[in-house]
Amino acid sequence: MRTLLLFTTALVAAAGGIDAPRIGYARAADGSVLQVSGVSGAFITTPTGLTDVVAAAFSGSLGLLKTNETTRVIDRTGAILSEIEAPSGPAMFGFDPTGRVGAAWYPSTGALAIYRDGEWSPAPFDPGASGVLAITLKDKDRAMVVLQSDSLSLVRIRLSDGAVEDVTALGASTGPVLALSDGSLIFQRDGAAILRDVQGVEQTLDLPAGVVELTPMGGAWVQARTDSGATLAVRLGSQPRVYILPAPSPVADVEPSGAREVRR
Amino acid sequence: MMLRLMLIAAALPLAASAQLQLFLFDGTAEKAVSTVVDYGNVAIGDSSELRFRARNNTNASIALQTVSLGGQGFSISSAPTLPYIVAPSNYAEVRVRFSATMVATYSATLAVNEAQTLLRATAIAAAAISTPAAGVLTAGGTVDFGRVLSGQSASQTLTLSNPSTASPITIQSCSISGSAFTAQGLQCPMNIAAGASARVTVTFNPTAAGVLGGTIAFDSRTFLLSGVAYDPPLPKPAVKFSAPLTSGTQQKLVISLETVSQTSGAGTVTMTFQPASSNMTDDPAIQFVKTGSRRLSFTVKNGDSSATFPAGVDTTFQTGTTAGTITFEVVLGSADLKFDFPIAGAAIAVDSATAVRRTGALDVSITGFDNTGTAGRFSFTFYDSTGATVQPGAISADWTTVFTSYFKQSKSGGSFTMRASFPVSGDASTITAVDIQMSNSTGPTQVSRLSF
Repeated sequence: MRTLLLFTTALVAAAGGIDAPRIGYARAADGSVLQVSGVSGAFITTPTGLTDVVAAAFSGSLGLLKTNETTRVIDRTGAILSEIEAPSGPAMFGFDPTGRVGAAWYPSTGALAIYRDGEWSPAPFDPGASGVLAITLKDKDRAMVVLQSDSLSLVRIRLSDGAVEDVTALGASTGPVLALSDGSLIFQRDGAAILRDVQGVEQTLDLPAGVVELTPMGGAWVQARTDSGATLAVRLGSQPRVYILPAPSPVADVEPSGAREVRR
Repeated sequence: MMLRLMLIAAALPLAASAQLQLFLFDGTAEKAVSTVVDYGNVAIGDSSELRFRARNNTNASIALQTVSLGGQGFSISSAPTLPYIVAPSNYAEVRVRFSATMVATYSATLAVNEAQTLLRATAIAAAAISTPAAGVLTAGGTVDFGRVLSGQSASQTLTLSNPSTASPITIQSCSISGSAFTAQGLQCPMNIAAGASARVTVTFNPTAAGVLGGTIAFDSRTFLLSGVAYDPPLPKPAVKFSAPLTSGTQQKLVISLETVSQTSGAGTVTMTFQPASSNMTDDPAIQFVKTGSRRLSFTVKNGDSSATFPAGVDTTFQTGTTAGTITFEVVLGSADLKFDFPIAGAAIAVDSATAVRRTGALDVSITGFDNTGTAGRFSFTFYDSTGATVQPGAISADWTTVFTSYFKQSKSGGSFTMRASFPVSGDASTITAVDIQMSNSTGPTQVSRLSF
C-alpha cells in the first residue's frame, strides 16, 4: 500500500505545539520537591510546594514520593494521583520502561509494592540476608533488584511469586546504586561512578566523589547528591554529561494539585 | 538681633551699687578667685590663658563698664565690647593670656568694674620643641602624623633645643600616652646643654582604622599627638570565565583582583541581562547555580589574589538560552564596576529529539533552544526502510509566527520543546527515519537522522 504523508502547517500547534521544556523533578536536600525545566546547562528549578519527602523518583510520567508515613504518586504536572499510608522511613523506587508503572521497596518492613493503573498492590519478594540497594521494573511481570551482600548482584525476579529468574554478579561496590528502567545501572567502584548499560558495557561518569544519593529525575536525567551538599544533574546517553542543578529560583510557579485523602 | 537684645537688657533696672563677682572657669566649673591668681611656671615661648567670668549674682542687670589690665607679660585676649549689660544670673567672660620672652616673675592687676585680682606668673627657661613639619610648638600644640595605613607606621622627630647660650636645661619628667604611639629617645631626666638640642622620635603605628590620639609631655608641658589610620583599599576586581560565553552552558566565574589584597572585605556580584532582540524576554536560566538567583556574595582576605565564593575561588553560573548581553556588576570596597559580555546569536541547538510512530501518524519532538528567537522554518525528509526518500520528499514548514509568539511570552528564554505530528495514510511502518533541518536568522541546524 502506498504511504501518504498528509501535512499542514497547523500541525505543530495542533499536536501540542511549542512548550517550555520540562526535565522532571528533583528532591532537594531539605525534603522539598523541585520542578526542573529547561535544557542541558540552562536549568530552572522551581519549588512545587511538596515537602517532607524522604525519598523520590520520577520517570517523566510518574513521580513517586515517600514522606515518613505515606507514599504519594504525582503525574508529570505535579498533580497528586494517589497517596497511601506506607511503612515509616525511606523507600526505593523504580519504574518500568514506559514510566507509567512504578515499584516501591520499603526497607523497614521488607515489602515490595507495585503501582499500576492507579492502584498499589503488594508483590512477594524476600531478599534474604542481602540488602536491597535499587529496584526497577523490567516489564510488567519482572523486576530487577540490586542486592548487596559481600558484593553487588543484579537479580531478576518474577513479580507473581517472587521467584529469582536470573542473577548477575556485579562485583564489589560502595555507595548508592540506581537501577534504571532501560536496564542500565549506576553504581560506584573504586571511588568512580560507573554507568553500566543493559549489555554490560561500562563507562565512567564524571561525578565527584562522595555521591550519597542517586534519583531518576525523568527521561534521561538522573539527580546525584553529594555529601558536600552539591546537587548534580546527570544527562545519560551515549555521552553522559554532568551539570550542577541550580538552587530553586525564588519565585514559584508550580502548585501541587489534586491532593487526595490518604488511603489506609 | 544683638542690638535688640542689648536694648531689652538696657531696659531692665540697673543695680545702683551692685558688684560683679569674678570667677575662674576651667572649662567645666567656676571657682571664685582669690586676691591672687597664679599662672604658675610658663615656659618662655609658651603662653598660658585663663578664663575669668564676671558674674552677676543679683536680681538686677549690671553694666560692665571697665576691663583693665596693668602689668607686663599679660594681655587680654578676649573681652566683651563695653559697655556690656550683664543680666541677672548671667556673666561676661574675659580671657587673659600670659606669655613672656625673659625668665622672670611677672604680675598684673586685672580690674573688672570694681572687682580686682592680682595675676602672677613665672617665666622659666625651657627647651624649644619643634618638628620639621610644624616648626616650633607651644604647649598644647599638636604633632600631626596625618593619614597612615593601618599596620604601617609614620615617624616624626621632635627636636628639643636649648635656646640659652649660657645655661643648661634639665627636663625632669617626660611621658608618652596613646596606644598607637611610641617614642625613642624619651628618657628623663634629660639634660640639654646650653645651645644644644636633643631628639625624640615619635612613631605612629596604628593597627586598626580610626582617628587616634595621644600625648607627649615634658615636665608640665604637654603636646598632643594625632593621626588617622585607614585600612588599605581593596584592590580593583575583574571577572574571568572558564571559557568564552555562549548560550546553554554552565561556566565558572572567577573574580580576580588587580593586586594582592592587603586587607579583608566582602563584596557582591550581580548579573543583569539584556536580550539582543525585542522579541525575547528576560531569561530566568541566567543565574548563579549556588543561589538560583543573580546575586552572590563573596569575600576577600588579606593576601588574596582572587575573591572567595561559598564553594571556593570560583562559582558556577548559567548563560541561559537567549542572545544578549550579560552584565556582571561587581561591588568591592569603593569599587562598583560593570563588565558587559555579549552572547552572540547562534544556530538552533538541539538537546534531544525523538521520533515516534503511532497508528496513522508520525510524531517528532525536538527539545533545544534558539537564542535568537527567530526559529520557525523547518524541513522534514522521511525515509523508508531501504533508505529511499518518501515522497513528496522534503516537506517544508514555516512556523515562524508560532515560534515568535512563544518566545515573546517565554519564561524559559530561548529553550523550547516542539512537537509535530504527521498524519499518515497507508502503512506507516514503511517509514523508518526522518531528517530534520531547522533554521533561524544565523543559519540552519541539521538534526541527526532519527529512527522511528
